[in-house]
Amino acid sequence: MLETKNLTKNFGKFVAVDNLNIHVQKGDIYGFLGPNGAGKTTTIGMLSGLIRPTNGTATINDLELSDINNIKKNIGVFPQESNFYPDRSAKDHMILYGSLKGLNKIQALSESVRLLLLVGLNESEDVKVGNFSHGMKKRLGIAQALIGNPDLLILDEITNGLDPLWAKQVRDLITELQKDGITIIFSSHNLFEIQQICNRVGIIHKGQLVAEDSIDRIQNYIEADSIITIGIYNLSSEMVEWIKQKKETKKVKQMNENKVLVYADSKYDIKPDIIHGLVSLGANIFELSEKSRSLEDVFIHLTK
Amino acid sequence: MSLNESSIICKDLLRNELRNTRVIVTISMFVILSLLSIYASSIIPLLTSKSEMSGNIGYITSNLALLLLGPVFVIALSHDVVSREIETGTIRLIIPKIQRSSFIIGKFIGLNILFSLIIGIVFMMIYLYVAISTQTYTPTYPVASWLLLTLYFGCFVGLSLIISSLAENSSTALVMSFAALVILMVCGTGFKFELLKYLSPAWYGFIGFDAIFNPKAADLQIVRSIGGMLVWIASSFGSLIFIVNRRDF
Repeated sequence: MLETKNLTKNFGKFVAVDNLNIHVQKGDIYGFLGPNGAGKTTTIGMLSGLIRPTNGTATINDLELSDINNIKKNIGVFPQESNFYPDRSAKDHMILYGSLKGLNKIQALSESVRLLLLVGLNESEDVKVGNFSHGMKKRLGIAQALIGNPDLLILDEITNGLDPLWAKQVRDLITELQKDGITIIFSSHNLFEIQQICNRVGIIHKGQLVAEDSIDRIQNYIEADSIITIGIYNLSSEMVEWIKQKKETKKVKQMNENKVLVYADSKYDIKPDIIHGLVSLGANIFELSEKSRSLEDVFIHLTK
Repeated sequence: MSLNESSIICKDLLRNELRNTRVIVTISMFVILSLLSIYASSIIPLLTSKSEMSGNIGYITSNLALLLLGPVFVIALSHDVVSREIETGTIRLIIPKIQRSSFIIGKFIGLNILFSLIIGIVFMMIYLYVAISTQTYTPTYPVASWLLLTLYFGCFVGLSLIISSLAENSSTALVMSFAALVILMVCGTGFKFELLKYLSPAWYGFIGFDAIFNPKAADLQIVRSIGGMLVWIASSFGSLIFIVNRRDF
């Protein structure tokens, strides 16, 4: 669906995107992650025809990036730092964008009605966008990106500044759009929402792709220890020593008279063995929990 | 380039500019300026029967006024047509939908139509004034003046759009456009270096004016004037497409 080949953008001597190779498959919700200034917006700009690449290319829907004018016909984009005309209504915008996408006036009008309803702006369609809140502008941004039924939707920091209710509705909408067969590239700082809705993720740092995989697999990219918290009413030194002697255990830290933290090799699940051993030593266990690795751990590890 | 996309951008520009107070004020100022110049020339016999000029004094004075002050109005109205879109970010929702060249061609044609309309309205009013006051109904002078000034303004539309496409914000575009205008007007006088006048649309505008109203003007003067301005418009149009295709938004 989308593949970049050594995509590079230099601004003078500054390399914003450096030989980037990302792969987005049809039907993906691809999370594009990276800290501020990592090159996400520049990459999205290159893929949507706003920024000219210095080197490299990309293939979108089997079309080379040099054929950007044909690519534009089947993609919908909501770039960051974009804006609407403050003195025009939402409906006027939708009709203009629909016409630019090749719809006639009647089609543009009916698409406007359908999409403004989809993003909950149907009651504000005649209100000038200058009077819209930040969240309403974001929703109009999604609506304009969807005009013309694109195969690929590129959304840059779309939920930034949305209230939690609308952020959730946008996430739900994205999931629905994926079910309709639309491929979505979704850049965000919000690791929680990326983890929630994306099936694949690419992490970019200083213009380079540092990881790309499915959400499930990418969490195994770091060799972190499992941290197991064990709470025992009658914790004794004998029990602590027993845990220390286990070969999978790397470190044991006693937090207080009832609690220990066990750092263990993450390749093994030692919890059943620990429960069995401690119970045989007479332990009265009230807590046993393991901190699992999250996308956040991977992100911090890869971009620090 | 897609003609359909360009025509949408062009119509959108016209629809918005014609509703814009700034444009209405400019049209009114054009009309007032032209009528004032006619009035002034009727009380001060600026060009009398001793003059080599022929044609109604109203057309001569309004032509002169528009040749001198028109470029200022063109720049005042068009300096921010692209730079404002870059500055506010509205262009970032347009460019991903259409070809870059369609966008700039739409703006270029739209502005030229707008100014052609403004000049048309001005000369229509002068024609009516002259026709009523002198019972002269020949449309040669107003039509020739309208064509000459449409081309003349077209040169400054090109200049203004080039600067607007290069600038990151409207105030920079305004300062750069006025600086370029002053340079071109000075060059048009042939000041210091005679050859420089051939680079200025002001020169071609004035020899065109002379060709229309001076019966002793050389036969090919009008051709040189129109040819020079067409070359100017074509060069600025080509540069404009090159700039818009190369830059990042």
